Amino acid sequence: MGIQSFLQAEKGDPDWLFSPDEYFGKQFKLSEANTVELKEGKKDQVVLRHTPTEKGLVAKHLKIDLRDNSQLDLFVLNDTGAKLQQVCLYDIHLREGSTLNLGIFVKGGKFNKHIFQVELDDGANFSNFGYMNNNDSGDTEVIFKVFQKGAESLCTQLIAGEAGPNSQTVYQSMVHIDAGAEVVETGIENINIVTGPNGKCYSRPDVTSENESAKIRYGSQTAFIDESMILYLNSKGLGDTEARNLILQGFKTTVFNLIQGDDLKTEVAQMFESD
Amino acid sequence: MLKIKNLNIKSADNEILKDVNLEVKPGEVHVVLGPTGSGKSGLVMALAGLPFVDVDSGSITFKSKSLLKQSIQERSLNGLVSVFQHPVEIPNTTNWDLFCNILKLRKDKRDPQDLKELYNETAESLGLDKNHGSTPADSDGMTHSEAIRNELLISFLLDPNLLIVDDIDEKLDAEDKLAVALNIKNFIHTKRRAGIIFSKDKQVLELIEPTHVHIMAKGQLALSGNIDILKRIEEDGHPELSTS
Repeated sequence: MGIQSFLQAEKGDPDWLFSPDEYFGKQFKLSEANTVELKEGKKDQVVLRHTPTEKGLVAKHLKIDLRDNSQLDLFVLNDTGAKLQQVCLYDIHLREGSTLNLGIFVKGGKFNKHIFQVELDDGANFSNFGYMNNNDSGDTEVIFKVFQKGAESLCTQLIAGEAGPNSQTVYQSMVHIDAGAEVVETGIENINIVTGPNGKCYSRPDVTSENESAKIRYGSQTAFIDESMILYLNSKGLGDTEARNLILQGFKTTVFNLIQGDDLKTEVAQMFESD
Repeated sequence: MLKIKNLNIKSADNEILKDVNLEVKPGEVHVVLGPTGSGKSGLVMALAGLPFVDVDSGSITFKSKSLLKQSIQERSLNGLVSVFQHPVEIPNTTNWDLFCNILKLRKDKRDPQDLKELYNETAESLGLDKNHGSTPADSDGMTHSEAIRNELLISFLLDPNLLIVDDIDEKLDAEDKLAVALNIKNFIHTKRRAGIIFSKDKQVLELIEPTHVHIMAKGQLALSGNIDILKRIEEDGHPELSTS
């Protein structure tokens, strides 16, 4: 599982985008399929709370179509059990002048993969941030495939990953800027922290531009919890576990502070509270 | 309060301290003057319980209990707090939040909100910005001088019985050294706490108004007495301070 399986899937994917057939009806049984469509000029906020408990291999498909100049603030809160094996595929089309503000928060699972395929038309704005962790000796993955087709479109990302003992997270963001997409901006950032032995955080920011006018920035960093920080906090009277939790809390804050609304911020913080 | 008997410590087979003896009673302020490599930081590490030195032989008791059997955390909770030369900064948290979390996690019965005024006063007296509590406690948010003063701020507010200060004035400019020394003096003398202050700077140690002065050289406390020792060094120099 993990990055290897993802890369293997790439090889048989000549059209660049994931095919739903890859997962649906074969390895994984399609258990849910939903469509969100926002009409022209409309605004909405949606919070999707998933606490799936299935034990088999399941797949879920969400199609999002934002019509011209509409705006959706979408928060996905996916808190899974340690045995869950699922793939969630999000097919997203942002039409002219539309905006999707996406918060993606994914916790746990034996294999818990979220793939976002996003197509941006002229002037569309895809802004997202999120946090994923795995402390279940499993694999949590957040994958983006963004196709900036339209001029003056914008794609920004800040995704943080946390891998506990014998667990892994995978972040991959492949952004493709079309030759005809003038004056687009892309900024992707991935930060990771490994909190236990044999934990792994894979990161692959990947931007391809066929238009020279594009403004692009990307970055990725992965760190272990610094033992010197733990010793320092020990010296201030904190035990090892308390010290680790405090350091981790600071790490989470980077993303959690971006959440608008105190109730939602509290809910997300509680979801990722250390056991 | 603290008794060190025949302490010998090593680091990677190098002898750091040789037969060090020291007793600190409540309210006493001991300063230890010594050049780089004399063993000051080694003694601080042994007192704090840091794993970078090995105690070869000897004993340390604090409040009549063996300190060497206590973890770093236990030493701090029992009232021995060390102020380090290079305080580690915790990313993505503010200084006030860091302080509140430290209090909460060490199960301090005091309510942080009740300490807010004291926090602000202490920060101000250390020359920190009035909004210091809301600035980030990380390397982007603080200069070295601010990090040192922040370390003192948190250590003072933990209200230790014995404050150990390790050569923190080393990289500070003259003005900051003065502020740091005066604040250490005020904390220890006003609250009648005990302290062991290590430094290479004689003037800093004088400002602290010690009750006891020790000269450390080549891993040993070569000379002990009162503040007159510092005055004598100024007049005559002292051969023990030479590292050669």
